[in-house]
Amino acid sequence: MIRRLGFDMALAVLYLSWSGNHTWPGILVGLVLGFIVVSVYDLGTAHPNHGRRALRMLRFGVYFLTILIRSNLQIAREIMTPGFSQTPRILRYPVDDLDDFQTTVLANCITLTPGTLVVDVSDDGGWLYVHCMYALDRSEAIAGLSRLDERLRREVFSW
Amino acid sequence: MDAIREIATVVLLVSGLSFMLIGAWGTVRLPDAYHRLHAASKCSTLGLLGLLLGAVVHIGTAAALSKALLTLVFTFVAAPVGSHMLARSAHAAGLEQWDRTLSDELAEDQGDHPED
Repeated sequence: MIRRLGFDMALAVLYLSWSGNHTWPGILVGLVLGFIVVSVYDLGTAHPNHGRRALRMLRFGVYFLTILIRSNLQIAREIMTPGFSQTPRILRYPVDDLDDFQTTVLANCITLTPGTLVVDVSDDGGWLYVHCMYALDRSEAIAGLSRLDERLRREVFSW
Repeated sequence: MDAIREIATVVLLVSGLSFMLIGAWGTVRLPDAYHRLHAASKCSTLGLLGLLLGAVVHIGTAAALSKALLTLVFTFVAAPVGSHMLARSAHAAGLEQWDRTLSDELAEDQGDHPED
């Protein structure tokens, strides 16, 4: 679950700061120890799959880096070529089945992905308002958002 | 080996710096507050990633990596939140939007939220 997100890495950081062993093998030992501790804890829960979850998370990290780079290239092109080709809209996007923490993670990811920026969240937490730079077709822009959303749900929020 | 490392350092530093420069340029050039925030939030995050990676490759110790990672985690959490707050206050203050903006559903919804 989201509460265990990066818990083994936090343990590794604890190990590093207390052992004072700031070397590459030291980091590896810390990560392995943290992974083992969380895996053992994980075995006692209803859905033990810490290893697979860590892999999925890693895959999302790689995917996230690629879209961050793509979003930068896109906006760099817009900035450096003369004239503007944006077709901006502020869209509402439903997030009512996510809790506050997940909404925040999704909002941060949306802001760092190509052409989108979160402007506001409704008071009841049910809607995100997203400024899209290229949203000539509204439904296409929404579909782009839900691709990221689904990926995040599948690889980070799920069991 | 040292030459490769130096080249990698230079490439990372230069690309990080150029993204930051482009972001700064975009903050000046783009037409309204929201577009400027796009440039400011995305480019500075990737730019910082490049600079930190360059520093890690150059220094090459695990201590440098752990510090860089911690800095990155904080940036990836803080930079988008900062831009949300700016965008939110821009909208609350009623800053003028670019005249080619197609629709603003936040303005439509303000006051009452849709139930669909």
